[in-house]
Amino acid sequence: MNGLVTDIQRFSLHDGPGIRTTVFCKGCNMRCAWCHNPETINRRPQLQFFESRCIQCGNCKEDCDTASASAEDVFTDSTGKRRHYRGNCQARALVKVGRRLSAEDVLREAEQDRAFYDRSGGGVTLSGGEASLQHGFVRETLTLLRERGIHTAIETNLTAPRDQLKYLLPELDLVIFDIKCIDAALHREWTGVGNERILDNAHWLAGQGKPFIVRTPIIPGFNDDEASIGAVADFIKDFANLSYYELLAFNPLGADKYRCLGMNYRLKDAPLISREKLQCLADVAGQRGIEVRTA
Amino acid sequence: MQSQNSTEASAFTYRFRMRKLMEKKMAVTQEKIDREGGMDEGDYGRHVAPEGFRWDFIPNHADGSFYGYMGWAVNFESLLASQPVYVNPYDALAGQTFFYLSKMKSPQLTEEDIRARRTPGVVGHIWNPDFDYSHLKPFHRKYHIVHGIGNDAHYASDLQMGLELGWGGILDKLHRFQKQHGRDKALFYECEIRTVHAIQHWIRRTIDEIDRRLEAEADPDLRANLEAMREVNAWIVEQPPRTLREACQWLAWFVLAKRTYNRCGAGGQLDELLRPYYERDLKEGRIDDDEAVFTIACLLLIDAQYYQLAGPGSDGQDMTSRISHLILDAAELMDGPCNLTIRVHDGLDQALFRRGVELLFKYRKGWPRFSGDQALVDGFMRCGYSKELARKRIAVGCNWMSLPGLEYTLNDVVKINLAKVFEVALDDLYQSGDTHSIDSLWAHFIEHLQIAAEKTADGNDFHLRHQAHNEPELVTNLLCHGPVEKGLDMTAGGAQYYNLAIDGAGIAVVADSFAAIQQRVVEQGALTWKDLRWYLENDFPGSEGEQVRLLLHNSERYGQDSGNRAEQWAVKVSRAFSKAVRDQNQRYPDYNFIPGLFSWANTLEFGDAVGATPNGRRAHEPVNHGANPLPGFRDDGAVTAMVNAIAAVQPGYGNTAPVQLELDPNIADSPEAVAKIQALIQTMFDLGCTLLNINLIDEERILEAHKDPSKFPDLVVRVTGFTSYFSMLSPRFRQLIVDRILSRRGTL
Ligand code: SF4
Repeated sequence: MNGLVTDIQRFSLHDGPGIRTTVFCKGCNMRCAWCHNPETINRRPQLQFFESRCIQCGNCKEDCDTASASAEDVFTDSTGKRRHYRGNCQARALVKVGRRLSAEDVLREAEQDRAFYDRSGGGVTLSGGEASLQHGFVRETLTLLRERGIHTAIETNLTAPRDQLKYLLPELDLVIFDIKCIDAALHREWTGVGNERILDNAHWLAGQGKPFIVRTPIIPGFNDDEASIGAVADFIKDFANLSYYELLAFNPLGADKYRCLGMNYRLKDAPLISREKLQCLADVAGQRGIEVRTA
Repeated sequence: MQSQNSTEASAFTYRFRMRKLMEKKMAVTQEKIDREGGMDEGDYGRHVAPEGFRWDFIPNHADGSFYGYMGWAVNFESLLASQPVYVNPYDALAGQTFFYLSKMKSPQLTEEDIRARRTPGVVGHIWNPDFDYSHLKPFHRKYHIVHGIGNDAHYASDLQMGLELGWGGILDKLHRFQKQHGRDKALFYECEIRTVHAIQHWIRRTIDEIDRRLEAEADPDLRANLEAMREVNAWIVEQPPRTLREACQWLAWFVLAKRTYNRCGAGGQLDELLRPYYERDLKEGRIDDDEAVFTIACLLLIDAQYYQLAGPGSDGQDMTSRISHLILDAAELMDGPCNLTIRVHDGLDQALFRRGVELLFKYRKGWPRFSGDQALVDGFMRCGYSKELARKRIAVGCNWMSLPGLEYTLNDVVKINLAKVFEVALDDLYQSGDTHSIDSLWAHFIEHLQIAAEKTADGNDFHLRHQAHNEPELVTNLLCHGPVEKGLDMTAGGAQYYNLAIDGAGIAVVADSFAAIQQRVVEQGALTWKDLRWYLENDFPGSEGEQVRLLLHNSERYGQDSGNRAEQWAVKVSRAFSKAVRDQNQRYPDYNFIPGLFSWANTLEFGDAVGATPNGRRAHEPVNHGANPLPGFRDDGAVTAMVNAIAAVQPGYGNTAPVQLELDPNIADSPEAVAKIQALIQTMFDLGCTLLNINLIDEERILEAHKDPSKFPDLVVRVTGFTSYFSMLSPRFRQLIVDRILSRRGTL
């Protein structure tokens, strides 16, 4: 079974233990206002236009065949110009994000760094988007990786139905999931989805004997306060198998990607989270007796 | 003994003294810049002579310069006798370099000459014109060969021997062997003896200066230090050192002497050299760790020699000891440039290793570096040497290893521009009327590679036949096994082994070019051979040219994916290069030629000599660094992919193809991240890599790169847990990283 993948990043140091390869699956069921990887939201291949790379060769010029081209192959840039993707942009300015890859393709790339995983205790992390949306492909990939003795992890928003989690869990060595906030209404407002199932799944997962890491992205105006983080820490503090709790400071580095995708970015003017603030929130969580890390 | 914990500020603590020394160093650096202009190369801690000081060399040749044994001995003697002496009452050690004799012999050199001397294929004024090598010059130009003729140093002497003999012992040895030889060696011995006397005279002048300082010094702490300094120097001017301070002072004089003579920067296995003195001092209650650290820091401050730490001894046991850690403490205390390499092997003390990684990221000054024992040992054994000997071949140079006192190497000064060889081959194919095919291109490449290697080896032989009459190694000869015994210069048969390094530069340009032709011309037919020629000759003109260039540029790249076309070509090129170099052993059975892949400071010059290439590289753009892939080889710039590629092309005979990493210091921002970097380093050596240089890009450089990203094509930054080439990011993206820096500094 093939999956739709935006990117495979090697030498990834922040997606689980050791040196890892991270596979970004395309497609997400949430709409987090701050999303760093907007190119992974849409479940279909998508055009991206990097203006600074364009050499104005004209290969993507709108033509008589553009009208009949599929919408997926036409990109309207910020000046309103329609660019027709014909697969011949040598400058890699107009590119299609989203490759169809088989589990074997992923394995082939991942295996190149096996020596690094072995020394560092690393492996492969399936991330996204929301990886569980492609559970068939993800499970097949995880199985293949594990057969080769490669440590597996998933980064998930934990919204998947319980059955799907049950289907994936046996092939996972580690689960990394987000609890973005405890307040359901606020959660829905900022992510487009309620958190009831997430919290329920978290409870269930805590009883499954698999190690997991909980993360919270600290987003200005959403959850960058002691009460919000304290509430998450309270929720997870008694979970067995919690490896650690990690706070990820908001950064606006995705802003550029939104532009290249022709999307609007709600948080483009949001302030950065200072180191002091991040540390202060980490201390709040740490008071619950859990290990807290920041990134 | 003093306590590090005693109150700071004015108290005579080691930290206070080091601060005083560093203040002096800063002042000297500023003075140097004011008086001599900006520096474009390291100057190893050299001081600047007082304004108005003048020394003129004594020519012995019609061309106005000086050459040969007597020319060098007389001038060295004269310079050491005239130059200022350096004593600082805060320092544990006396002495400093003020001049480099090898640079002074041609005072008429203009800036342009100096630049020209760095250009491969060109030699400046350092070669004795009596020995003509114009028969080789056309080949040097054609293949853009850095021939090394007339180049000096670049091998290691055995510092241990010096510590055991002392200056008096060295003189005795010279006299003993002088008697055993006839008149034909008289000049050699006379010049060597004069060299030792010159150094001793320099030390005695320094002792006089200490006396003068003592007369005027009222501060009891400074007086006590000056008295101890005097005692140390009075002893070691003749006798071998007994204590750690005497050992460091002895090493300092030798290091300063060879640096002054011809800028030699090869150190040794510093922990093992100092261990017996430290242990004895400690046992006899003469020293504590704080004093040991300060004394070693003073040695490191005097001159940034290349020293190795740890690694397996000849019995395979790790050589890490307490003093290895103290040397790292000393480097921390000094907090200036230093060149320490930790040799990584299975038995390496993990605490030392970890600390090395932490310090590298903490101070961001490129120390320590790491070398890979296994590949170095296996490779050198492939040349026919024993394991014990291979383990003694330690990291004492920029990209190189050497057997202290045993071998002459010409390390890092002989290079073939592989990109130029490729260009000649492609040209030849087009001119020849041969069928245009990739096999035929390869055949032309091999043919020219072979000629380039032969002419390079001929140049090495020419150098070795005449170098003693150009520039004998009067200082380093003293601590080598052979020259004194045989009455022969290291360059002229004195050494036990002649393991001559020949490095290849620009491998990625060649591999990517072959791959691009294979993919775009041969397999896809997107371009004809004829079109390719036209675009290369015209440097990809206009918009159409740019499209063609990008098409070629976006072909498979070396470093992108294990086993892809480009990597297969890179491996093939590396093997062919090794073979061409090793083949020279048959032509010159007295020498053992060892291939390496390295370009270092010459990437611009090498690139400048080569027109547009089929990998979509425009004419005169730089070639790749060492064995590194070209910038942009992968969108994620994955270090692991790069390491796999470099491991695959190791030449495999004990010389290096280093991994040159440029990283954002924030990559190792937690204990877990440090452990990951440690694992990265271990893995690269498991895979067969030989040497790692990690260059941490400080924030200033990122800010500078933001203004002109093309100046830092290799700069990798951490973006959000993964890494990316800074230059690959869009201007806005770069701005965000810059903002991140500014916000960290609290200026945003
Ligand atoms: S094809 Fe690419 S480079 Fe050419 S005009 Fe379109 S976006 Fe620009």
